[in-house]
Amino acid sequence: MALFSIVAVGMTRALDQIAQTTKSSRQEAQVLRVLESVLAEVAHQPELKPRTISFPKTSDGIDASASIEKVRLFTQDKAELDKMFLIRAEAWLADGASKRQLKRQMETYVYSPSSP
Amino acid sequence: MCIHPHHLRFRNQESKIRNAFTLIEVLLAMGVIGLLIGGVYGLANGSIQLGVSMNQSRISETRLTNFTAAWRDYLENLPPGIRLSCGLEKAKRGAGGNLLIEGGQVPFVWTRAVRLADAVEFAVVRGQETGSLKLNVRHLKRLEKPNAFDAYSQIAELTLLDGLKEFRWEFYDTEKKRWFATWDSTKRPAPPLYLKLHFEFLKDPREYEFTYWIANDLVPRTARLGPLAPAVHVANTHDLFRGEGWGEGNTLPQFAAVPTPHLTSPRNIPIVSSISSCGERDQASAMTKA
Repeated sequence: MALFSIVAVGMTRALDQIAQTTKSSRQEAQVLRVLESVLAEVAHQPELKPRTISFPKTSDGIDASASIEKVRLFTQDKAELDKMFLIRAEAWLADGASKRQLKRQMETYVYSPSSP
Repeated sequence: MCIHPHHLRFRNQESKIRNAFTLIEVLLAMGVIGLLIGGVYGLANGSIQLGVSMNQSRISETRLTNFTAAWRDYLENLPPGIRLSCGLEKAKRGAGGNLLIEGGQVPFVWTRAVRLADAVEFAVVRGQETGSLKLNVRHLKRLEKPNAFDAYSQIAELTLLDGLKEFRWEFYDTEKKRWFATWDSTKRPAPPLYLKLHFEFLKDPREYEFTYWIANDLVPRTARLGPLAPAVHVANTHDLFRGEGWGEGNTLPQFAAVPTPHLTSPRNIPIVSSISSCGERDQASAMTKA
């Protein structure tokens, strides 16, 4: 009986671990898909202004936000690259009021000629 | 002293009876064995069901990821001059009407004949299950003599999503700064800036929503294949930066990853993108940051 109990508990734990891994990989894919949508929407705005944008929570419970920063970049010849922006998008699985799980970040530099 | 043989036989029989199990002991043992077998079967059955559901989940996630990647790849590489129309005819309940894109490269192709299609239509039609919808892609060829009913003939059709409960499109108009459920190319010749997909499956309570940017200002990529390709590339790159605060004496910036800047109008160009998990950040750029 003791041997069987040990084996049973071990197998159950292994199954639980496999299920957790599958669940987290699925959630990770969901978060990444939301991140791609957020980045596409923010990075291609006609005019970029430095600000932070919050996005409504999806039905999967994924929250997202994006920030736009103007950055000063220089070439190797010390020439400044004007109208360059850094877009940083964050998405996370909202677990409860304050907990943020699976927080992932994606960022891109954007050259926006029509922005001030 | 002598022992009667009868006594001997009786004693042997008595000891035999005492060494055996009683009926209750046997029943208890069978019950314990049954419990053990039941536990093993429960574990095995649970693991099989878990494996099946995990496999289904993995397949559906992979399909969804591939579906969104294909859309993103298609819409972000559309050349200028395409015509996009949606929702101009009567739609099924829960469906957002058919989306017709004329011009540009054709997505979801599997043979050369399909690749040569002139237009592509995404149609939301009735599915096999009751109350279900499915998304089909139709590859269309322009008729030599368009008639009053249609200007295209269908050359292929492929189901992309099945078992849908709802499928809708939304289009973002840059001028009006609003999302629209339909898009009429006769009233708005330029394609929308963003396309949003909303869909829901019958057997999945989750709602899916994806936003795509529609590129409409790229010069067709075939221009790069000609003999003048390097000159065109340099000229366009120079034009891009010359008009935006670049002095005549400056050299072109040394980007680590510059996208092919074949531009006809000012647009936002993502230069470098990186993904990172919480707390980490990749500085994937050769540029120095002030």
